[in-house]
Amino acid sequence: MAEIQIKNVAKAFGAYQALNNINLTIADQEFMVLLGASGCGKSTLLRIIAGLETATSGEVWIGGKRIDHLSPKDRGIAMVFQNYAVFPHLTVFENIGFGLRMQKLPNAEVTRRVERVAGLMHIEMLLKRYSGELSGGQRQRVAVARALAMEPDVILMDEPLSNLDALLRMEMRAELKGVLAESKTTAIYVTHDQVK
Amino acid sequence: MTDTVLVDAANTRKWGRYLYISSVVLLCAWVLVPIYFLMVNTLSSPETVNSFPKTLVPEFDLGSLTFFAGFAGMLTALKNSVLVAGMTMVMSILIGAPAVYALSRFEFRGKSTFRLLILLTRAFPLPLLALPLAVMFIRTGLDDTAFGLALVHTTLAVPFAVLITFSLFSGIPIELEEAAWTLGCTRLTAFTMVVLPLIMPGITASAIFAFVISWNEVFAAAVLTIENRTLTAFLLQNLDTSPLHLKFAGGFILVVPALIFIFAVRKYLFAMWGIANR
Amino acid sequence: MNARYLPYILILPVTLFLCVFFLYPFVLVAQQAFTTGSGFTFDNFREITSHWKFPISLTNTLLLAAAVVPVQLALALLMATMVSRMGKGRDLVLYIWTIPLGISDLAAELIWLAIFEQSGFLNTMMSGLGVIDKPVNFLSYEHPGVVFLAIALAEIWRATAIMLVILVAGIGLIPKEYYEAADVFGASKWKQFTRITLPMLRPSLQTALVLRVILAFEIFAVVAALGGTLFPVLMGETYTYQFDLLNSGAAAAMVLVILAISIGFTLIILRILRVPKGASI
Ligand SMILES: Nc1ncnc2c1ncn2[C@@H]1O[C@H](COP(=O)(O)OP(=O)(O)OP(=O)(O)O)[C@@H](O)[C@H]1O
Ligand SMILES: [Mg+2]
Repeated sequence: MAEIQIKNVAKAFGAYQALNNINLTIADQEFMVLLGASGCGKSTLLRIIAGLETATSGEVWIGGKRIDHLSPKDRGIAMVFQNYAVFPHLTVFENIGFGLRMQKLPNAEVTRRVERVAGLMHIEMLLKRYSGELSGGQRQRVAVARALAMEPDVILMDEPLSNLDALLRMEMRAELKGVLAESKTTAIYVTHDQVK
Repeated sequence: MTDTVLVDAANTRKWGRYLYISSVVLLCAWVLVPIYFLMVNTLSSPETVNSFPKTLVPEFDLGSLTFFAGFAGMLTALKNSVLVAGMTMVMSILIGAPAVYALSRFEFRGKSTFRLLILLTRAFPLPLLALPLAVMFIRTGLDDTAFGLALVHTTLAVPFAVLITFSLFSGIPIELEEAAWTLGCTRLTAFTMVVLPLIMPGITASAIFAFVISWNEVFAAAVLTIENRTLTAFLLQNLDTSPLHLKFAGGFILVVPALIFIFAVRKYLFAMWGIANR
Repeated sequence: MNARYLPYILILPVTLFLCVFFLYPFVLVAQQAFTTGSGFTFDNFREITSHWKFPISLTNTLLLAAAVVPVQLALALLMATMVSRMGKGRDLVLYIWTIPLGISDLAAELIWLAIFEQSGFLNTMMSGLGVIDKPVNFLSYEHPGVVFLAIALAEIWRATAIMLVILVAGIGLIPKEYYEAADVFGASKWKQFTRITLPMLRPSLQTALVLRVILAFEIFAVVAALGGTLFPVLMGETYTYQFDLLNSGAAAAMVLVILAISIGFTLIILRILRVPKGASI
């Protein structure tokens, strides 16, 4: 059960009011698409849910628990960053398996999960490469795979497919929706893309 | 018409390439030739060193060097130097790194003042602090110990360590750390798993620098040690009264470890993990 | 977590350390500068500034810094950009260029003494070329220009490497996409240097310059070896007061003067190369 409730969340950067009293409920297992103009505060909202930014006021609840005070690792979320944040010193494999290693999963399980999500994202042939040897779109898919591998209750995706060609993007989005529905994950999907 | 333009362009490129290569070679020579001269002097007999004109090739006379090698206390001084420099290196990183992390990752009151103060400690001719410290050390029993001297050298090295790592640290995007947090890391594990490998070159650079500062420091070493002289202090003491050829040999003894040390860590100095590609 | 206090906890070790080993002796030195046995005075400062050598050593120090630091900056920038697009041989070239980093003042002075002394290599080469017929004692009062040049060269030789290391590391952090973008827009190499490298390098430039300028004011050993008493500098005079004249009060006052100058220049550099918050990579 991972219903997300956002109650009266506001965020100010100094004098600039980035978010104004946001109220939003995302039902358990829902695939919610957030659409908005550039600079309207979508990333900021995701970062508040993830615990990377503290709201100026308001509350965030996940699965019936208030989580504002928890650190990011204890929130049961995974996040795809708008600028990927793929670790440059690790291979694609180790990037995707990073969270699993933190959970101290056995090697075999890490390999199994990494290979599965890499297959989903069509990057299974890149597993040995470093981030510097990837294209923008490939890097982006590594970022998505890294979040998926966690099999989290909630996944937050900040324009996760923006760098792919239209065809691949459509295919990936369909696949993502399928996978997330199957794993019963609640998802927030931020996009610019009007042809939804 | 277009042909001549093309040929011209190719010519310019060729000349640019020659210019580039010759400047690289020239700059290498600029660094190496003076060291070579010192070597020639060191490996020449005393008569040649004081004669004129000089030859530009060494005659491989080991007189001056064996003189130093046989010098009583030389090996102990060498050991002391390594010991003090090693301690300085470790202490300045251990003390400096947390502060650098705070500076580059947090907004806190007094941050800019703190950074400025750290910087400004370098504006002080620190070796002069050795004098009041000598009094303090005698009271606490730290005088004439490697550890006491390492403490002073750490004072010299820490501001550098902070400065160097800070500028490299700021270049590492915070999103990498944030990503690690969302993937189950605490602040500490995110630091050790993500930040540390990325700033290792920077840390290594400042560690080398700390080592070298300590290795080369003469003044505080001369004031604070009597029995446990470091190599530089030891040489300074004996060079003042030495003839020219022994001076050059002493200088050469100081240069050789520098060559080896920089060679040993050269990879770390600059290997940047391809961060540029992120 | 107690994120509010964390940064303060992190800066605590360095603060405590510097309090004991820097602040405490510093206060003692400052105290000494303002006392002459009978309470608070400016006598020490009056004494050193009225000494005939003071204006000379002040000018010499500033002149040397003004001659050396810009050359070092230009040289380090040139070397750093040269290696940034070097393929094979990069490691070797970088190693050679950073060798002086490990060489002490003491060793550097001996290296340059071997070149400039009367039976040294400069004389050998010049007589070999027939420019002079007998060895000249360059490092004497008859050749103040050569003395200055020798000191400046030795300093440039010895201390450019530290700037180089900082700048090479800084350039390594500039994403190469920026250069690729600039290539696409048709920017020349020179434009790329002035429009991308220099601005992005500002934090590293700041560090490199502050470090070098401060060290330039503390120059002493190389000058002592090559110039001796011919070329008095502030730091040398400080040591003279302390160890030859056994006048700790005056030495302490000298130290405070050097400190004031260094602080002044540090602030100017920080001001000029200020990095606006949020403008870093
Ligand atoms: N650290 C910050 N300091 C000050 N202002 C900020 C900061 N982060 C974001 N902002 C401002 O908050 C607003 C919302 O930013 P946010 O990144 O959430 O936008 P976004 O909706 O994700 O835009 P895009 O679609 O372009 O990614 C922007 O106007 C931005 O300028
Ligand atoms: Mg955004």
